[in-house]
Amino acid sequence: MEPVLLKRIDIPGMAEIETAVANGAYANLGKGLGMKPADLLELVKASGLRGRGGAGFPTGAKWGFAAGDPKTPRYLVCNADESEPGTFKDRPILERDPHLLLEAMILSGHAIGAEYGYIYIRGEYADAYRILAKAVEQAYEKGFLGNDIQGSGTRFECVVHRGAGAYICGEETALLESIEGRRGQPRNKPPFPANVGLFGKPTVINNVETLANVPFIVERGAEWFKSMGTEKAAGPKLFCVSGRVNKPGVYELAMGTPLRTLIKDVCGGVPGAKRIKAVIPGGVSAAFLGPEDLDVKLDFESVAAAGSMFGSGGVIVLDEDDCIVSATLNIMRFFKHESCGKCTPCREGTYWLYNALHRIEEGGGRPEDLALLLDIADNISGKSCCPLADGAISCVVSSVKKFRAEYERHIREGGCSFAAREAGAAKA
Amino acid sequence: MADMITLTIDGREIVVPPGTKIIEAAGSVGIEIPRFCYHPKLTPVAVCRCCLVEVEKVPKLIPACATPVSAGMVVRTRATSEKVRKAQQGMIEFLLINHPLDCPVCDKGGECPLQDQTLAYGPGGTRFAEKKYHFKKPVPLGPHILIDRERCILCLRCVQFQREIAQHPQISVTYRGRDSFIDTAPGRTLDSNFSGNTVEICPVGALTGRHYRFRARPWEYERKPSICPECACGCNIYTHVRNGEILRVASRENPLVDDGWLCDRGRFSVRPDEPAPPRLTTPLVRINGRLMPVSWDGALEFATSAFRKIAQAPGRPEGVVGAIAGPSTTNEELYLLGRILRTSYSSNNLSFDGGASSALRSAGFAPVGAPDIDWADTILLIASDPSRDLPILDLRIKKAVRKGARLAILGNTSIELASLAASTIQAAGTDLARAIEEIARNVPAQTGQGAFLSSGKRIVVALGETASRDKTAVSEVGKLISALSKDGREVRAGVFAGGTNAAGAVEMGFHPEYLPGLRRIDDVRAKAQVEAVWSASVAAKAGLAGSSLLCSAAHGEVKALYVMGADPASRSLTPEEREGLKRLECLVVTTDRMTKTAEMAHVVFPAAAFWEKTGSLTNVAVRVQRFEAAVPPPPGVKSDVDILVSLAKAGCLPLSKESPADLAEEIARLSEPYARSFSGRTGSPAMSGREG
Repeated sequence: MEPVLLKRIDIPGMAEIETAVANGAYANLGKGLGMKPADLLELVKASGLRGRGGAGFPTGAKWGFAAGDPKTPRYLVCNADESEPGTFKDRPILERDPHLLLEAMILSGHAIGAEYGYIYIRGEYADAYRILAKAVEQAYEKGFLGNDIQGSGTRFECVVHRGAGAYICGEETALLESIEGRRGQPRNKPPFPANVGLFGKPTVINNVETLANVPFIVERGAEWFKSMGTEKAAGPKLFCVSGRVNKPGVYELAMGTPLRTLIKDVCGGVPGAKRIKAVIPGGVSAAFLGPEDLDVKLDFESVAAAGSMFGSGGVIVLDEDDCIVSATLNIMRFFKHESCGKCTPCREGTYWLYNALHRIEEGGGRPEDLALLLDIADNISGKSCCPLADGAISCVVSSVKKFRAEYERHIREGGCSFAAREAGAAKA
Repeated sequence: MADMITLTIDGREIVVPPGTKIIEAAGSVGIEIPRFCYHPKLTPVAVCRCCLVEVEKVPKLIPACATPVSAGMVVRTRATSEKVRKAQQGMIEFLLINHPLDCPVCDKGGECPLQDQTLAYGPGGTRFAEKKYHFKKPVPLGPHILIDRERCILCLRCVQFQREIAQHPQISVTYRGRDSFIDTAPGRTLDSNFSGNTVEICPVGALTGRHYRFRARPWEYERKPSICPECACGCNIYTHVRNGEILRVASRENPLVDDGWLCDRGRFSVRPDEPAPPRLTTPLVRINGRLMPVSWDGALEFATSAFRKIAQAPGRPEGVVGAIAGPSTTNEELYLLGRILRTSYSSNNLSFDGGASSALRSAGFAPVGAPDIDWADTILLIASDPSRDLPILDLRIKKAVRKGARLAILGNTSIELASLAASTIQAAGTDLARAIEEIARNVPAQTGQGAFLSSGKRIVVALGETASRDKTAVSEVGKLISALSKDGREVRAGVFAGGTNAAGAVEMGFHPEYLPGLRRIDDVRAKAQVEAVWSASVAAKAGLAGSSLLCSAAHGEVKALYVMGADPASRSLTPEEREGLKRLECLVVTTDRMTKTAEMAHVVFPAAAFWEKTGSLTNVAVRVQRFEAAVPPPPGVKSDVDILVSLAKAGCLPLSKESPADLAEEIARLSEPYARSFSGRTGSPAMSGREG
């Protein structure tokens, strides 16, 4: 597949607006802004574009909920709070082709009738923030943002809002709270942001990668977009691969590329030709897949059918030397730390799971602990107001089920028998 | 009703109004759903997740506290859903893993929703084998409130109360996840005047009140309904009494008065942790210039003969005797003292020492209180600061504004409520009357605040203390009311002023110009009605009160004064007023403890303190609220009614109504609001608003 989203990222100086424009940035604005908003929305619907943030919700449908009476002010929010461990796919766009995102926001804002856009960027992405903020400034100077974009009569204002380092703010309603200046905690739903979102107004929240597709759909049409990927998941997809592979990094492939192809062919396989023990296919909120699942196609439906989640495209590979209990503990440490604390099951449950896993890893495991871990997870599952807790238990449930013997060995042998390197890494 | 919603909960069909939450719908038919964060007066936050229920066609369990009913909804609670039962048990287990389980030493133990609901819905034991989370504790959040963060289950009721109801968002959650805790902003404190409510609504023992903590267990004290005597709001309360000592005060919700909230001034007026000044338990009589303890009979005899000598000396005009009564004297005491002074001593010199009287009521002003604020779509406060003077009405106004009422302020625009006002005009002193006059003119002219007010349909006008004493201002308000009472607009105007029972004092006729039931003393027919009930004649000349009463004493006109529960000498008096107190031939003081006035007295009677009395108080909205003694008076101490009856007996006065029941019946014949208080018991008998 020819690169689409990443095709300009290797051009030096793409963050500078002159270079960007010379290389095609904002080239689709004229065409897109010339379309009626409803037609643009239809085009995106027809393309089959689905959200790249993890949930895979059809983008056009989401826009449709918020588009409506043009007199009601509404907002477009770009979720650039890329904080899922193992996920770094939006970063190349933010740092190396920021004008693509701005062009995408202008077009998307036009489609839903939003004159204001917010880019909520992860606090730790300091470089990306500086680059993006400068890009916005330049776009204003050149008339790509503001009251009357390139004489089209369309208005679009854009604000870059920097997060303060909380994973939960990637959850869309916590993100809105954070922009509004409040404690970053998810809101109870309903109402959904499409009806009551930022500052109480209808709001569309899209991932960076999702939006980045829009200018190309405008340029080349829905049919072209659907020619890539699978029937239910069209278009290109960014995968970020980390862990035990020879060539970790961000790759743009068609939706539906098999996991084995990604690891073996694209990423050059596992170092030392070791056996793959487990793969997390879509960020640490996704369940572990085992070696038997390597032929799964990387799209929403196929990964779900394999018992995990396509998620953000953050693929983490573990090999035979990696301790699954230690990896699960490491993930749970993350969730315990990042749970916002609003809902009881998430706040207390992640604390309990972390401590129980820690005890097992350190040699204090008891035979009844495995049933306990699963039951704690069951008491968390689906019982809090946002998906963080459900993501947090995926690693526990899948690792206990798929790698039960390894847990039992920990309990039997009074601790972790894997190489000191792994044990050390987990405790770090 | 056509717009009602029918749903099914546990197989039972339930009909409720739209907007009802599942938890309330279930509660309406007695189906209990466990809850911690839910509170009927707060916006649901749905954080404790203990009220999860199963709803048909919804894949996940959903919080019953935050989910409104919809037509045809089929809900299953723990009674019919194993999934729900397990979830609720799981939530309670989660809440308990880090909870210290120090119930045996916790103030909440015995009245603790976490304890109760663990017993009812929780697992029998715990599977938690790890270390509990630890916090530094206890930590003071403000002058009255401390927090034990280990007990806290982060239900956010306190945060929500301070944010939504008190509108003093002084506490919030800080840090994240299991590390999070309730705190003030750095360097700030929880000094809201309503902070005590957070202790009451805390469903665990995390928040404790400094004055009560570690003092008692809930099963040791008796809960007695009473009325808060700290201001004219008349909040309904319970006293918690153990061994004749009041340990604390708690709310007893009455939607017509207090909505179940109390201010800190009222709640923390009871401070068992602080030493109380010594009580007076023996009558004192001035002998050779010094107050000496004497017997009750001796003191009564002394006072009676002194009064008679003065009042009945030949050639003495009417009004040589006067009386001053203080706040938190009861209606019955005020009535009886007024009646004795008028009938036995031909004096109308009755001065209530507890803030402005509500005499304005007869000048076209109706009583205005909480229900009127609820009713209003537009509220004008004239030189009034309810946040300071009538705190529970401050909450009521905030509630009205939240529900869409518009607030206008005329007077001091730096008061707290001004920040909620849509229209403010700064005026003070003589400018006030002029400003009111201008607003009245602006009503037909449709400009300024006049236009603002006249765009309302249901308008409440409330005058503060100083405004109500300014005759020009009052008359201008009268004009404003008539200007507004047109074009289908309704106006209710009243006084947001006066201390405890100021409204009762005038209603009881403890007033130089008014007889009981707001009968003017110069109204011959009205006076005859009172004389018929009393079988005695009443002097026709209006009496003296306040400063004129003391000044008249300074000129030797008033020679004897009966001071009941007041301490005028402790105020900053003019030299002339002070001279008045000094020149008195006989000063009788009834008081529960030594005061400056008592030190000047010829006779001092040890009187019951408020909590030792049975009687009634009348609140700012002229709602008469009856109460019974919470604790008995110390030995040797009598209530003011008893003292008055004893005095009357000693003086052989024609006082036929001695028993409290007879007295109440007589007052009811003369005062309509008082009579009404017999139809229902004080306030509402409803239990406190504390949620299960």
